[in-house]
Amino acid sequence: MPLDRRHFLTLGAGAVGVACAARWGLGAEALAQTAPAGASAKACILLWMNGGPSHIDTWDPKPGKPTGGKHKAIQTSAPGMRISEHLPGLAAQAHRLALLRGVSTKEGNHQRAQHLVHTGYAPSPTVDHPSFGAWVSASSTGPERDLPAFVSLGGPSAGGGLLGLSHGPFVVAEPGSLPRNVTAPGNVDDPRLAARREALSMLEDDFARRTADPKVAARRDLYDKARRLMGSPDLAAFDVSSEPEAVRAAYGDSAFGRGCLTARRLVEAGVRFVEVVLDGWDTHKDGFTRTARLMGTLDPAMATLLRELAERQLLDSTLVAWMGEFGRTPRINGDEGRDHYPQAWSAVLAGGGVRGGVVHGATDDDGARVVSGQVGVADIHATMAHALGIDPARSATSPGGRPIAVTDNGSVIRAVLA
Amino acid sequence: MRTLVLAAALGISAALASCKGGLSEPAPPPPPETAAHAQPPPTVAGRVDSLLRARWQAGGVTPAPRVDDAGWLRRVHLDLVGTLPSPGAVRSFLADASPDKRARAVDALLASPAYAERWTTYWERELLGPDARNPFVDRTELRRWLREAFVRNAPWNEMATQLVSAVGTNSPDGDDRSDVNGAVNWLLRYQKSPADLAGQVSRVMLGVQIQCAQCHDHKTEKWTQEDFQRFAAFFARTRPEPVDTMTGMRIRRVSVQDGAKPAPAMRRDAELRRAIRLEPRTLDGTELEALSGHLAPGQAAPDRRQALAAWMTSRENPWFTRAIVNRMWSLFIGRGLVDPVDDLRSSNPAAAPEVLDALATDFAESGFDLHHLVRLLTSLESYQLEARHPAGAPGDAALWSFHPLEPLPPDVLLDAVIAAGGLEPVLEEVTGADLMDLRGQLRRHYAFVFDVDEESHPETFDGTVPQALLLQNGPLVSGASSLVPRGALEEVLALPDRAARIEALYLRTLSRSPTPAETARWSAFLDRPRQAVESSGPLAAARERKRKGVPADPLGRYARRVPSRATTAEQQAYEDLFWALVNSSEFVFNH
Repeated sequence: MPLDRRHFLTLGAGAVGVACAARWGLGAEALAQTAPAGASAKACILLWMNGGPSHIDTWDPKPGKPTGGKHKAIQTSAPGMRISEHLPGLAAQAHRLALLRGVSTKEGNHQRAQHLVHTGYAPSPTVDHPSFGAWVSASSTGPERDLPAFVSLGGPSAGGGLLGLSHGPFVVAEPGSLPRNVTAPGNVDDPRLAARREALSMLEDDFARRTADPKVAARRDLYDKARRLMGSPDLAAFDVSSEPEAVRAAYGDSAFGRGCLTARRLVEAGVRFVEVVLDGWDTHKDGFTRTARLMGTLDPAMATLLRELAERQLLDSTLVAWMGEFGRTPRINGDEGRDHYPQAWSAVLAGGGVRGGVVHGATDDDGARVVSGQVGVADIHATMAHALGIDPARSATSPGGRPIAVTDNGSVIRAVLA
Repeated sequence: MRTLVLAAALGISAALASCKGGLSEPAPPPPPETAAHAQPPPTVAGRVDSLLRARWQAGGVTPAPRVDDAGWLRRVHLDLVGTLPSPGAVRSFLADASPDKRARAVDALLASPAYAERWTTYWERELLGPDARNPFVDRTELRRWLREAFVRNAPWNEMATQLVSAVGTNSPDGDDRSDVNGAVNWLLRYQKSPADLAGQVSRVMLGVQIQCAQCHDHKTEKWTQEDFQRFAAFFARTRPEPVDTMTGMRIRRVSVQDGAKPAPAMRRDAELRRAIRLEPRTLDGTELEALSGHLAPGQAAPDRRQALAAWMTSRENPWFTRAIVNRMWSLFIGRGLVDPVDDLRSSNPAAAPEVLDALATDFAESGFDLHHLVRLLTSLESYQLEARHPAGAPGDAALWSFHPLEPLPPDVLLDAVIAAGGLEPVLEEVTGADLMDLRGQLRRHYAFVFDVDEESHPETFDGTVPQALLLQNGPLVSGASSLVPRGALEEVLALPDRAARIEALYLRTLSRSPTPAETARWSAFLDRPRQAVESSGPLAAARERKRKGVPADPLGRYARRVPSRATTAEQQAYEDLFWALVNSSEFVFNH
């Protein structure tokens, strides 16, 4: 396991009672673990709502209340569950959704909150926390595949942290098309590419002999991985242009829609963690128009994703999660917008052994306070880890025995599991 | 008394550890100004060399052989100025027979503008972190401030003092630079989190991770939560005041001052609220009142940050000189004497404390002269050794007995590719006046893809597939290694014979001449029968849309406009060889 300074970093926040500056290393044995019984998900798709979506304007409507805003609530396929009128497609899929309406966190700054929700820990200058996707990547078993285990469609997501660069996200800037630089330039055909690789190989042989340094071999391995990806038939999973027009249309003509379609294709090709980003939820101004438009992008994409996964018998083995970095204030500001609000917000889980048609947790009449079923990011991650067969308490251990766990003492939310 | 305990724990010599308690003589005053620019006394380098030799001997370690001139020149260029030596510089260095040519090369590099640029970039990244947009931070102004300091070789204690106690405005108002102090931009990075500010000052300047104590008392170290809070109290009154009310500007102009009252950010932070009421106290337990002794005559009430800076940079401070000397050691020689470099504490002792002490004492005596430190480090035996890894896993005894392979940091790699490919005039022509801007974009793009930590010295290589793909297929390397108008290959192919061409490619990329065997091999490679590729398509794939968070490849547009002009099989074979050289480990590692 490659280590650099970030993986040797010292530990501050969190657990009490152990030396702050314990040094971190990871051994394969430290990662060895067995899947808890009942885990059914093999892959996870995280729909990341960048900027922090309003819970009241989406999944936790408060019609008729002063904080309720301009959107109406509609019935869904789940008895008693009402969501925004701008999510009609998802309303029809609601029997597959578990709404978490009692999420409560403490970070109200975008960067800090994005770190928290991606990694499960508040940022610390002394620990480089891995993102949840990196944990999924690090716990992948079986033969190595051509495609990376963790793909971020739209990026930047959060990195591998102390698990190592190689477990960080493979970022695709343009969802729906091939990743950058996976094809040789146009004037380099296969024979030229082979000649280049042969010339490079001779140079590497010489340098490895001269330096006797194992880093040269490690770098060759990386180039081999890149070569396998470039030549892999699975690469086509990134490119949605071969999908029927009707399918592409159903997901919507947007980067996010193409991202969701790509996510389905990547999961089919064996990728374990895919993040798809929908940016623009930081609606301090003109919030109702903007959230309506965002939901216009979200609704067909996510609803079609759920429907297609179900039709293809993939929903039971694919966990879908929807969340952003925080919610937004119940109070509507002078610009018809809402501001950052970590105290109470909503997240959604579906598939992968999650019970559908469930609402867990509730906010008060104004959407200001969690009154029941309060959960934190650690609990959501614990639930996701459990569904994916990863022990939430699993940790990367230091030589001194000091663990950084997948979740910061999170509890699996049993109420939403089948 | 606490100082003594800590100093002893750190293995600090008594002379340096003279503390408030006055148990030992105060340190002697710094030597006169002229001493700072003289050659390092041979005794210090000699002493360090013999300390390390003794260490290797005791461990049964044979150090690597001495690196040849070309290898040393490439190394010192990359370390000191962050660029490859030009082919001309390599040739004249190899032709120079004088015994002091290595020392003279160091002096020439120290005096070059590239030196200030390289260290400006290094410290910008260390102080401001990777490119995160912060409306209060004007990176350009911090860079300007750093560059000015490195150009005149400002003493490190002066730079540290000015950074920690900076007041003034972060950003100019058009041409109006009155009250601008670029140094405040470091403090402003943490204007929303004063705890992080205190933690970073301690980590960066003292190499002490006091912030670990923010959440809980330290079990094995001396720090308690109160220690942390009282250290943070030095910054409790530091606040940015808006300078103008204009909104929508890229950077919000603010003036950093210490007011009479606690800063609002401090009051908002639940954990730090307590620190407001606490009297500041330094890491060795010195109370603010006692620090007035450090103040300049005539200075009134102890300004909190000035008092802290005075304590921090005083000769008696057990951490300050060690932190910078150790950091510079790790950048030049390999693994830090204390590793990680920002974790000086008794339970993480220096691997060779006597070396750290010798260097720290010498650095303080030089008047905190960074040029002096660089001259000393580059003159050490450890810096002259080849990058030849010992067999098996090298233990601690083998530390610094060979030069490690280190991936080039992103901006250095970027400049190296541009230099190798002679791309600067090409890019200038394509981008017009925006070359600076393009470089900035490229730097961000490379920093995003190549997330390298310079002070870390992992024993293994950790890279990502996107990095490998960018170097193999990305427009920059494609452009650099292709036959494009005014590019390097055009110049190389104008040379009369094949051996000269191969040598020119080697000098441009690997900064050395090829061996006869290498020349023969590449000659055979170029001679191989091959079919020229007819369609010389674009150098890069289709256009990308701009997306937040993931910098677009800034060269995509350029590469689509400038196709390769290599039409013959031989020209294409040269491109292939050039490509392989730029992708080789010998190119992408500092060795």
